Amino acid sequence: MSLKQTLVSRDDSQQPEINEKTIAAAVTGEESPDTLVRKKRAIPKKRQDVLKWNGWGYKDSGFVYRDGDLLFSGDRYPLGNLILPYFTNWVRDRLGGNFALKVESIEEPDDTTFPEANVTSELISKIEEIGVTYSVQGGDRLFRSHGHTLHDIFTLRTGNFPRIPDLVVWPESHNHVVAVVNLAQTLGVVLIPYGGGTSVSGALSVPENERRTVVSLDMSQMNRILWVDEANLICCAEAGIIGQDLEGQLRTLGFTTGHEPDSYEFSSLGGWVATRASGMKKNTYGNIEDLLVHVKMVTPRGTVEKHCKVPRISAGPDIHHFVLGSEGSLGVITEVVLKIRPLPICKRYGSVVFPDFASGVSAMREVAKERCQPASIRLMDNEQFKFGHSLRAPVGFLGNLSSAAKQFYLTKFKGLDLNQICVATLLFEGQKHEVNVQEQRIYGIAAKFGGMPGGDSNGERGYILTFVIAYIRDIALDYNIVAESFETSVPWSHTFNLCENVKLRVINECRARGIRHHFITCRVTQTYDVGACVYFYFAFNYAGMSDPVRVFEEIETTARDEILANRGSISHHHGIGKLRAKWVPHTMSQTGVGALLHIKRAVDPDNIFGNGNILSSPETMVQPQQSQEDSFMHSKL
Amino acid sequence: MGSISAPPNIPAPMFQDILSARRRSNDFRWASRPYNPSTYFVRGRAKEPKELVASVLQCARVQAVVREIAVKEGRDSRDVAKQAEQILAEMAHDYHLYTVRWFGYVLSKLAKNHFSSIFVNVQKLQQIKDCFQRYPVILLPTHRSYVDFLLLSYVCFTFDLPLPIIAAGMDFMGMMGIAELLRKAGAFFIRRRFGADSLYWALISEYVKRAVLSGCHPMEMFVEGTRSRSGKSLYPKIGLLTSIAELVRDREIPDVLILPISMSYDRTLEETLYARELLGQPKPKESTNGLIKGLRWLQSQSYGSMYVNFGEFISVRETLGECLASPYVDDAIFTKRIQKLGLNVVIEQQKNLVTPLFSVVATIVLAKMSEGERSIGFPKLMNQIHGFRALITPNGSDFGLPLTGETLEWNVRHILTIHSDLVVCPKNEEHIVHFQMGEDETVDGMKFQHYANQFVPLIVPNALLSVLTNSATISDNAQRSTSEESILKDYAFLRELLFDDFIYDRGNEMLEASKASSIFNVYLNKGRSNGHTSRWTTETEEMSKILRLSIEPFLIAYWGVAKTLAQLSIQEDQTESQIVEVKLLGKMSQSYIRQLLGSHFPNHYGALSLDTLNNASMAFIKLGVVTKIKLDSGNSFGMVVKDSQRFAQLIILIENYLPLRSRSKLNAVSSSSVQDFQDLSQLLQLKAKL
Repeated sequence: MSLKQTLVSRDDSQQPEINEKTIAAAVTGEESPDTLVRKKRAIPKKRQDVLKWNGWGYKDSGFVYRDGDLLFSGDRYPLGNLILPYFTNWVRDRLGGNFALKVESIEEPDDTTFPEANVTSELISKIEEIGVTYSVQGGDRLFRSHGHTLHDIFTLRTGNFPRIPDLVVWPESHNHVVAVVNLAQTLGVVLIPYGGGTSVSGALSVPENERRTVVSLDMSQMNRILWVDEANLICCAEAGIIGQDLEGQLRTLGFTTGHEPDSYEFSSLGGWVATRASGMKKNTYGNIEDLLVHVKMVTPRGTVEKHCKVPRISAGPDIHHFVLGSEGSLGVITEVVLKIRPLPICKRYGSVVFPDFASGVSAMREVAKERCQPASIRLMDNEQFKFGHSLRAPVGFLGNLSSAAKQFYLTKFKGLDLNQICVATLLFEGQKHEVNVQEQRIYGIAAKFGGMPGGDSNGERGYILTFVIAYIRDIALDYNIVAESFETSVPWSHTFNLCENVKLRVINECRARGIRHHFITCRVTQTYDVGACVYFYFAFNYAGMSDPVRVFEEIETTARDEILANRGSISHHHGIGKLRAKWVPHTMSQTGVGALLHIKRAVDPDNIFGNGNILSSPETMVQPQQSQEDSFMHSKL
Repeated sequence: MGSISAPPNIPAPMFQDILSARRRSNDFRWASRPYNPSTYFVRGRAKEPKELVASVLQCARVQAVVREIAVKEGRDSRDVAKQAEQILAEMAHDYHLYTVRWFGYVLSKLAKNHFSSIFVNVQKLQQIKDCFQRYPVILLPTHRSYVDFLLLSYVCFTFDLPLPIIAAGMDFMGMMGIAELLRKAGAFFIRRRFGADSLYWALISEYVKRAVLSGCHPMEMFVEGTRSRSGKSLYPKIGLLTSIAELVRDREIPDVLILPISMSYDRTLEETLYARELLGQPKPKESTNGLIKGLRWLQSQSYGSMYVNFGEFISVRETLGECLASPYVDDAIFTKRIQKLGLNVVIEQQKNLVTPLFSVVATIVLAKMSEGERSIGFPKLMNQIHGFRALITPNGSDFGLPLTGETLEWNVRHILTIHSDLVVCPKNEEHIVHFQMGEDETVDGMKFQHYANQFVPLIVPNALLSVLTNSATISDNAQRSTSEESILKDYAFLRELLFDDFIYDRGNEMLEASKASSIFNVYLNKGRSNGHTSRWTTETEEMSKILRLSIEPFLIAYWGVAKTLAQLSIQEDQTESQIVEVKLLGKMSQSYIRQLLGSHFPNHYGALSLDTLNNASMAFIKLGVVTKIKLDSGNSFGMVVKDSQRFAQLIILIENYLPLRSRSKLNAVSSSSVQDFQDLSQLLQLKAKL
């Protein structure tokens, strides 16, 4: 049989398991939750029909340069179809963008140009026996061979990945997954779970030296909410459901998970758990580990799960904690039970202008100390404030006048330096009176540090831009600019210095390499009792440089070294993947690495989940007293 | 004349004389010109001097120390805070541009009257400007004169570089008016001794840190801690450097860049003062009156040229290295790294020092003087200078030539006139250089030594080899082996022994020795091939002898200290050992050596330098044969022989290389000299016990 066959389309009629949802229905007394399943989904099975094959997000959305100005195409986002002259100038001035010189991406490769899939007919027939759909088409395999690091996208635009998966399969239920994993174990095939594909850690790339057949386990067809339990305010969904579908469907029932990572349009529930994701509104709802009540993970040695869905348990080390953050290296997550909350009555935006970044950080610290964070509070530095400010449509004379008046008021009347000020954006959620109280407290604390309210429209803009910013890299790459984001978590005592030091270090690393136009900015995006999450954007103009991605990675590496020296962490929510694996032993101690290796051996001795994330770096291999067993394990990872 | 033709005697074109421009245009207009310094690093918003002080008082560390002291001493914390405020008022700089302009004007006038040129390495300026933008920069110049910090600020002002703020000693505080003037020019003042005063330490450390991060000026400090009276580099002090390194360790900043700067003078302003101090005559207290007198005297003097050279930037982060990889930095490792950093700075300073031409003259003169001669023929002097130059240029060093474009010979003539109080070529016999000797020969000897000390560090490897292969002492000592291996072993021993006097990059001793000998051999062969065999042999033998004589004062000094200490421990009751205070030991050794000069040793006045005698004590402590004991009173410490057997061996070892005229008579002299110590011994501190 020919292995180059077209996508086999199968009927979606497979019956879901019903035992759990019927229990839930019995408990809540609601009508059959079957209405919840099989709703319209935002992303089709053949993703490249709607999503860019070589960039971020929807095909119809993105920045384009037209008639002398940049504009944002499509009408999915509030910025849609607006001409952006200030942003155009910002790119020119700040990054030396030259719109006359466009660097075109290569054409989307034809299916015939890919290396032949390394699949046996036995594998195919067994897959067909199980009854899951599959594809060996190049385009499908390519789409699942990468995430969204700069390296990934640059490679897509300019050439080939050294290794892509051989086969894509679409399981549609937990049982499908169990069968596929068993098959993989029997045939010695590698499985790489694939959720939303938004990884920025190299987690999805196929290890180059992997000789076995590599199967991408696309979870997108496991996208149902299985049940909603109103009595306990939890819901169970299949791991492949993406954020916007989950939220959209829950909203119709009057609920929300409140989990809103910046990628939530595309990223999946299973992916959140596997990377220990963090949502913008974690102050109100918690991060994924706080939301998680129960999880099923299928490993080659069986399914890991707890047999209760309780608020808390004392039962030895929590097995959820090796599922959370496992990044697909131990097994595949199939079903997740999350907390849900009633939709908030009142939602309000706000912003505060601070005289400088230092006072802004002090205010954030105070807010955390008082534990009065609203749903979201983020502090942008001066560069980001200016950048965000450029992303606006031109307004009429009156608009200019009012912004000029505002500027005059801030600089002359309040004595602020526009090159020093920074802005905190706020999002309040809850009952109306709660929101009022929250607002009062926040503005009160801000005032102590010289901050003054900057209006709700500034705040709202900040959050709207969140989803748009991800599209900027694609237009940047069109004009010789490389860009990427990276993040960390850091104790309060070092937060301000970490922000300043990382930026300074990156700027000086750029100077040392003769890079003339560079841009590094940060924002404090989350606050905790102990510290904060800091998010950096870094870009530079690489005109005349032969290997910009290598240079970029070099600088990013020094930035991470600087972060660690500043008592920051390896990652707050992006995860390790392969990109940050070299800092793992430093992060968790060699003994910790050894313990994780033994968990790996217990659930996946043959390294079926061989994506090589977290523990695959040479640094991990260097163990002081390496037993033979351990070296055996390393060779597998 | 020497058979080596000198290369064209022009200071490398990278040096530019900044005085020549001053001679061409109006000083007042120049000093009041628009001054737009190049961009300098600042964290956040630049802080004014007053704000700096406020931020120090508010910082957590100072607040904690204030509370701690209040509790410990039962005082009101507001009272302690007030004290802190006073200390900071005494410490803080109060930089004003107009003061700098005033200095710029006055210094231009003074410099043009008394100096012929100020040579500055201008090739480095662009790099310095770049680095000023990147990270905070600490300027670490050599310190040989009070002129140093004036000169450096003057250079910065000239090239539109941001002016440094300067860590200065409290010596100036006694000078009415001057201290305030300097304060307004950017100096801040640190007490010489504050021992365990935790409040003072917290204040100075935090002040330095805040000023480095937000002061918007590079900071200048002197790694040697004080002016080097001897003319050689001093062992680095790491107090302030530690504060700087803490900034990087604690990641208040990713890096601080250190710029070693080498400044040298054809003639040192303080040459007589230094000579007196090194001989133990007390240093006159700094006073405005004294300064005015000094300035009046200065009117009549000419000082040749000044040379400012910049070294390579040193990254504090890179120096600390893996020290930083963990948040839990081991304090001992941290301190070791800073000590290494200090040494690296001193080595870099030495490497880039433009060697004053008179230093080689002084080295030759001292060699002659030690043999009782009072003059040298000018051609002979020139031959030797050419010879020595051939030894140092392969290592990248060279003499500074005040007369750009003139021959070496003319420059030497010029330098001799600048030092006319030490050497004279009478009008009628220009071929002879006479050494001027005043009533106290040791003072003049010490003045020469001050200059020689600026050259000797460059030729230490050759000098030591010359000592080690000297046939005279070898024939005297049957037990000394002449195998290459044992020479290299002894070489490494002596190099380490003399470390504090001649700081070098440890670990490359073998390489250094073989390089030095090959340079010398190349020089020898060059002469031979030119066919002046016989005269060449005498000349190189002469040179070899000068090399040996140049290091002998140091060997004598070390030997003298050891001998004195040994005698002291013999005469005392072993059960209740007396401890001799280290400074006193220096003085006792000095008087012991003074007796032997001329009779048992050549006239090596350099051996009387208290600086070297003190270094000798330190060396014995480091070797582990002598123990340092903290004395009950004051900041000083005493010395006690720990391992008398090894100590005796050490004495014999050094003695082997000494130019002893009569070994047999020495012991007698030594034992009789014990009597001379009797009065001194009464001064011995008895309090501390082993």
